[in-house]
Amino acid sequence: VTLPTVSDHHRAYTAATHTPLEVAERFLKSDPLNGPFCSFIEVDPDLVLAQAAESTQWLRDGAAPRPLEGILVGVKDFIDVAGYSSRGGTGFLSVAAEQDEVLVARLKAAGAIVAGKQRTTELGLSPVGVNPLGGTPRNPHDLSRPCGGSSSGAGAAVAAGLAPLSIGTDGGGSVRIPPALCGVFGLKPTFGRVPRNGRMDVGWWTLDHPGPIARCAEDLATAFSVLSASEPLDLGGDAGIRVGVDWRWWGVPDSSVDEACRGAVEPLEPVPVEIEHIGLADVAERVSVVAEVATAVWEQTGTDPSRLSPTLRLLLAAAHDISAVEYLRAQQARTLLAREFASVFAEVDVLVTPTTACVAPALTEREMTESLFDDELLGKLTAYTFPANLTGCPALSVPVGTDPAGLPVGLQLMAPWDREDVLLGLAARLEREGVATCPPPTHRHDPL
Amino acid sequence: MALAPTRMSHRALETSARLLRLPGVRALVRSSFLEYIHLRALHEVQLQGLPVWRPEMRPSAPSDPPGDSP
Repeated sequence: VTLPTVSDHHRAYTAATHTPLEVAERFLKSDPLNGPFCSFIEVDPDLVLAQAAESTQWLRDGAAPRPLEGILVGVKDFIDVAGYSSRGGTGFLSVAAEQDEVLVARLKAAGAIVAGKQRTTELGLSPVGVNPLGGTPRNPHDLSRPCGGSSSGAGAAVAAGLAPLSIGTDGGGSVRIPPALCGVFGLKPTFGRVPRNGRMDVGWWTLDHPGPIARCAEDLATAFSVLSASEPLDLGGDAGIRVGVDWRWWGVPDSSVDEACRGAVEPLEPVPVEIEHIGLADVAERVSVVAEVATAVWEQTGTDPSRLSPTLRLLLAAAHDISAVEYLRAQQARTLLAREFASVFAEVDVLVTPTTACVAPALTEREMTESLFDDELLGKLTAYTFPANLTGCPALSVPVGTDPAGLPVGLQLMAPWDREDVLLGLAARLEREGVATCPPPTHRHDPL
Repeated sequence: MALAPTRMSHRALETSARLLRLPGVRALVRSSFLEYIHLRALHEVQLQGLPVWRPEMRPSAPSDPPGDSP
């Protein structure tokens, strides 16, 4: 049993066994707002059905199918979709969008049906995926565990079969961590390849990268070419790719993650490389994030801190003690890291790490709905994801099986700036060879 | 000795956040946070002469002279 991809949907539409309207109706019946996965925060059935009817008519008229014809796409609640609000995972922001962001307009022009807005963590600041303000998406591989964050609903929806594609945003790993924990694929493109022009501003100015989450590399490639308005990519040209590993950075992830990732990497005969100042990534990311987010939301939260969860109140209060000198030194550290990555990319085409150092964590039911600060867990979830945000280079997470308990493990691939083609080519090759795969979850929606 | 705790429950976080109104606690929380993110590390590395990062940069290798290609 596998969950259907974009190609599977298109085959069903061509064979006339299903129509986009039937798929959309089935999606709406699954109760995406609540249901077992809690992945969507806003769904407008009228808007969904209108787009699905338009796509169904398009196919009935015999027009050539567009790249995402009749495909349900979920959109993270940071991105503006006309007719919906953007909340950014908070209880106090609610920005009604009168227009689609450019990236959403591109999806619709490619035939996609926007399924609704997907849940995220408060201001996008938790890699765990818990939102204490209400609504933590559930991991389809184990409903008692979170999906990772901050594109938590986006990861859950794709893994659960609610939508073949989701669009997340990634400021520190958010379109790679949920795919790793949920057993699907996620691509964070090069900074700027996919435009942002929404009205909601919660910071992340120098770190934010919108990107797709999907069930296979081919679907990621299709979504990327639509989102970036670029030509479709050829995923067959991966011969001779040189793969590097910084074993010092790799370190000691949890044993099940280490085993699965080494098993995927070793047949690629990786070249040892070293990024000397990789240890600066943590502090450079944290200083950049909290300074940018605290600045962006100061006017909304400064006079009434009760609008934030206690964790965010503490974090953003502390952010005000970061000096301008320290923020700018963090930006110099980013230059240093980027140069070291450029040096490594002169030797290898792709740098490989685990995506996370652990699988989806076991939390109590209270911890799934309340604030929690766990330094060790945060470190394990973000041990490998920050550098691609700091430097802007593209990164992709592929599933590489599960741990003995059936929880997914992700492998991260990083490439030089603007070389998404290299990442997607290697991901497709790993998929063809049966390395990049994950069994479907026990809990799922059958869309076809 | 590290000031920053490694794990805090909702109740502990809520209590700490309420105490932020007290100046002394506010200073303690902030210093804990700055220690937690290891801010000192930014002062322990030679960064002089490096350009401030701009996200549109496409960097060159560290051995190159200062400056980045656009």
